[in-house]
Amino acid sequence: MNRVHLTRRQLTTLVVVGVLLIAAIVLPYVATSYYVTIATLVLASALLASSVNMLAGDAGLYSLGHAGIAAAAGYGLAWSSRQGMGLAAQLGMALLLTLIASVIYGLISMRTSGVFFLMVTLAAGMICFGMAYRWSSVTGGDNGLTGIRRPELLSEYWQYYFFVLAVFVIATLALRGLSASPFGLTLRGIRDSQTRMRSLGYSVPAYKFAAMVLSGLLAGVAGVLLVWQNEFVSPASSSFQASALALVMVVLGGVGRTFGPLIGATVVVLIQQVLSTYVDRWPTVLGVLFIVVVIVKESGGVRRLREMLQRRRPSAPARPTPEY
Amino acid sequence: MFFLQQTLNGLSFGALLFLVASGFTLVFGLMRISNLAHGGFYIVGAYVALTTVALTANFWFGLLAGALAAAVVGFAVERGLLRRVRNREMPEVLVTVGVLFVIADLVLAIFGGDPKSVGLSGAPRGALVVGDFAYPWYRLFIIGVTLVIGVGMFLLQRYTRIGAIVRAGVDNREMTVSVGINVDRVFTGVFVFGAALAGIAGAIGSGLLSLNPSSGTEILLFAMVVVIIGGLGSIPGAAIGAAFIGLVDAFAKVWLPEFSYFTVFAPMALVLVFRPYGLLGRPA
Amino acid sequence: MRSTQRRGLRFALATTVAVAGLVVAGCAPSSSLSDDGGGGDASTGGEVFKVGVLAPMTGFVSAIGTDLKQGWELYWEQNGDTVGVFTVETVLEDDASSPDTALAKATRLVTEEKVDAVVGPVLANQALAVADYLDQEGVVNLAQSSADDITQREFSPLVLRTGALAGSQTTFPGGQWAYDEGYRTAATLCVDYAFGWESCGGFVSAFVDAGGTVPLQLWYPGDATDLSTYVTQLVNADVDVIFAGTAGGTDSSNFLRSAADFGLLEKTPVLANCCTLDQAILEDVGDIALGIKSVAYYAEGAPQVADFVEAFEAKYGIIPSVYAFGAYATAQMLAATLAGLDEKVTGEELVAAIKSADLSDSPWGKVSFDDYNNLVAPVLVRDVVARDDGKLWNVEIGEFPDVSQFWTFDPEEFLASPPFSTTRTGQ
Repeated sequence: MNRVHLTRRQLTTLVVVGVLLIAAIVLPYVATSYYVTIATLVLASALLASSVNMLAGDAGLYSLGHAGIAAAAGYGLAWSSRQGMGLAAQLGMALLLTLIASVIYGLISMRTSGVFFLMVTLAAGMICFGMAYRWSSVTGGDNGLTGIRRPELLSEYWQYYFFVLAVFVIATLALRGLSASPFGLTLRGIRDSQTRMRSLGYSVPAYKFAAMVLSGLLAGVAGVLLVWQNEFVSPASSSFQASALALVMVVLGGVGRTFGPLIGATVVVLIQQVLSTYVDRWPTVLGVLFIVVVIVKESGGVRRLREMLQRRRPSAPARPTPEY
Repeated sequence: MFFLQQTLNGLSFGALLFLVASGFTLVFGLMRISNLAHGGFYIVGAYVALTTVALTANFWFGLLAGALAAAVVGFAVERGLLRRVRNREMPEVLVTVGVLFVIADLVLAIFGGDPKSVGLSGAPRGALVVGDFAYPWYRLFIIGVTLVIGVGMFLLQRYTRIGAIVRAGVDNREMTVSVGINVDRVFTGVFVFGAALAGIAGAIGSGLLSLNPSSGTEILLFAMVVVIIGGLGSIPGAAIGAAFIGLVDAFAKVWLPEFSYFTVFAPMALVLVFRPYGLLGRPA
Repeated sequence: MRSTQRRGLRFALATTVAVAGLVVAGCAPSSSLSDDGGGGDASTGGEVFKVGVLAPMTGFVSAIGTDLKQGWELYWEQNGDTVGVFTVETVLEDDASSPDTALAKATRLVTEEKVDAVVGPVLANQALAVADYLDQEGVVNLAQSSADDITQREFSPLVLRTGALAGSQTTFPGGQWAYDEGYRTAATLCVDYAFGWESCGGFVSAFVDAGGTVPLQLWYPGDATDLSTYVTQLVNADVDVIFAGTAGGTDSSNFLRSAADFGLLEKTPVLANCCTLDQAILEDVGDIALGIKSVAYYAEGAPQVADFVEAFEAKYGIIPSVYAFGAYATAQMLAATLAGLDEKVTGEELVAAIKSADLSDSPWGKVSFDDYNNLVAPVLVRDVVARDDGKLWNVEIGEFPDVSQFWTFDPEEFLASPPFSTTRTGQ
C-alpha cells in the first residue's frame, strides 16, 4: 500500500481549493443577495471564460467569438421558453443551437491558427451578433427577449447560486480531466508544433474541430446559465465586447491555468459591477490592468517574482510559466 | 443614375476604408501585428481634428493635427508597449486590444459621448450637379484624396529606398535584419505612418460619418475585413478589398437589407478558410 | 500511481462538494440577507424617500446618460430635496448602455440601497429587462424609455412611464399633420429595430387612416455608418413627403448630412421624429437642419418649458435635450406626489398616489395618466429655427393635445394585434 505522497505545492493547492469551496458554500449565509448575485455572475462568466481557456491553453487557439456560441444557446432557450415549450424542449433547443454554432465555428476555423484563428472566430461572432440583431421576428432584435423564467427549483437567488456553483465545479473537473487525457495531450502537441503532429500522422484539423465543438458545448452551458441569471437575452450577449471580455478574463487569470478563468472573471466582474459604482473611468482601469498583465507576463515578470519569493525556500522547484 | 450614385457611394465609403485598412495592412504585413488599436488611432485623429477645426476654422489644419496626434499616440504605443512584447504574436494582439479599450474610454472622458463631426469649413461642400444627377462634392473629394495617397504610397514602395526596405521586410524579415538594416527603426516608422493614415482617415471620415467613441471599433472591424480579403501587406490588395467591401455594403443595403453582417463578414470568413493570405497577399 | 491517488482525491473532493451542496441547498439563508423594502428615517427629521437613477454614463449612449442626470439634478437643486415631510435622496448608477449592467445595477439598487423607486433606464432593451425585474421585486419603475410595449403588451402595474411618451404615440400626430398639410403619398426611412418600427408605425398608421398612401418604406440597420444609399433611394422616389425616424445617435447626424448633400432637403419636405432633431444633433449638424419639421413631445422653444430651459442653460451652458426634459419632468411629478402625502407609500400605492397627484404645474403641459400607466399628453409639431444668439432649437408650430398611446384606435384591438415591425407597419 503506498502512502499518499503530495508535494508541498499540491498540498497548498488542495488547501486553497478547499478553503475557496468552503467560502463559496458559506457565502449566501453571510453576504447580501446582491453580492451572491454578483458571485453567480462571476461563476457563469468564468464558465464562458473556461471554454475560451480550453482552446487557448491546450490548443493555443485564441477565440474572439465565443460569446456568439453562448448567445446561440441563450437565444435557443429564450425563444423556446417564450413559445411555451417545456424545460426539456428548451434545453434541447439550446443544445441544438449550440451544436450548430460550434460545428460551423469548427468547420471554418479548423484550418487556421494564431491570428487568423482569432479573426475567423471574430467574424463568426459578428455574424451571430448580426443574426441576433436583424432577425428580429425571432430574436426580438435589439430589444431582446424578456421574461425567461428559471425552473421552479432554482427560482431563489441562493438556490440558483448553488446550482451554478455546482455546474462550475463539475465543469472545471471535467476540463482538468480532458486536459490530462490523451486528447488534451494531442492538443498541446498541436499547439507546440502542428507540422510535427502532422508528420506523426495526426489529422490536425480534425482535432481542432473536435476541440472547438467541445469548447462550444461548454460555452453553450455558460450561455444558458447567463440567460437564466438575467432572465432575458439580447444581442449584447453576442457582441464583440462580450467575446473580448471573455478573452480578457482568460489572459488576466493566466492562460491554461485551471483557475485562471475564475480569477479573471472575478477581477473583470468586480471592476465592471462594483468598481463602476465608485469610479467613472473603470474601462480605463480594466484596459490598463490588462495591458500591464500581458506585458508583465511576457517579460517573465511572474517568473522573476516567483524566483524572488523562492530564494527563501530553495527546496520548492520553480514551475515554468506557460507559453502563449 | 441611381446605379451610378450607389456605385459612387460604395466607392467613397470604400475609399475611407482603404485609408484605414492600408495602415493596418502595412503593419500586419511587415510586423505581423494585428493592431486592433488601429481603431483607436482613427478616433484620436478624428477628435483632435474636430477640436482643431473648431478652434481654427480650417479644415486642413484639422486634418494635419489629426494625423499628427494619431502618429504621436502610435509612436507611444509602439515604443512603450509593443516593444516589450515584440515577436510574440498573441501578446501583441492582446496589448492592442487593451489599448483600444483605454483610448475609447479616455476619448469618452475628454470629449463626451455626443455624436460629433468635423466642421466642413474649408472642405468641399455642396454637390456636383449634372442635369438630374446630384452627387456631394465631399464624397468625390474623399475618393480623390484617397487616390492621391494610395498612388503616393505605391510609388513610395516601388521607387524609394525606404519602400524597398519595407518590401524586403515584408517578404523576408530575417534576411533584412541580417543585411544590417535597423529593422526596429523601420518598424517604428511604419507603425507611426500607419497610425497617421488612420488619423487622416478619422479626420476625413468624421466629416462624412459622424463620430462617437464606438466609431473606432466599427471602422476597425470593416478594416479587418478589407485587409483579410485583400491580403497581408499588400497595398493594392487593400485597395481592391476596400472597393469591394464598399460596393458590397452599398448594394447589399439596397437589395439585401436583412443580411448586412453576412454580406460583410461571410466573405472574410470564406477567404480566411480557403485563401488565408488574401487575394494578393503572400505567406511570410 | 500518484495520478490514481490524485484522481482518487479529486473524486473524493467532488463527492464532498456534491453532498455538501445537496445538504446546503435545502437550507435557505436568513431573509434579512435578501432584499427588504424601505429606506430609513433621515436624522434631520422627516422620512427619506430614496430614488435609484439608472443612466448610461458610459457606453455608446453616454451622452444621453449625462443629459438625464443633469435634468434630474437640476430639479432638486432648484427646489431643494425636501418635499413636504420627505427628504429625497438620489442614488445614481451607471448602466453602461448595456442591459446586463442595467439589470445588475437595478439589483444593487433594490437589494443594497433599498430604494423606493427606480428612474430609468433609457434604452428599450434595458428598460424592458429592468421593468420585468422591478415588477417581481415590487419596486416602482418611473420609466424613461419610449418603447411602446412597456405600457402596452408588457404592461405592469408598477411601471409608470413618466419621462417619455411611447414611440408610436409621438408619431401618430405626424401622420395626421402630414395629411392635413395636403400630402397624399409618403416614403419612410426608419431605423430597423423596435424604436424605428414604432416611429414609422405611428406615422404610417395615422397617415393611412386619414387617407394617404405609403409606397416606399426603407429600414436601415441601427449601426449603419453610412446612410447615403438610403438617401439616394429617397431622392429618386416620387412622393409628397418623407418621414424619417432615426434613433438619435450618429445615424441622425448622418441622415441629415446625407440628405443635405444629396439635395433631398430641397427636393421633398421631410418630417422627422423627435430624436432626429434633438439638441445634440442640432449642435452637430448646424444650419442644414434649419426649417425641418418634426413631431415630438418636447420643444426647447415652447413656452411651457421656458423656465426649465432657461435654468438648465444657466447651469450647464447648453440647451437641454429631450432626455434631460424627461428626467426633470419625472422629478417634478415625484415631488408633486410626495407633497400630497403624509407618510411614505411604495409599490402599487405609490403608483396610485402619482396617478392622482396634482400635475397642473408639470412641464409636460396638460397631462394625465391612462389605464395602462402611460401619459396622455400634448404632442407638438416643431420647426428648427435660429435663436437670437444664433443657436438652433425647435419651436412649436402646432399642437395635438391629449394624445393617447392608442391614438384614435380601440385599445383592446390595438393590443390584440402584434407590435409594430417591418411586417406590421401600420398600412
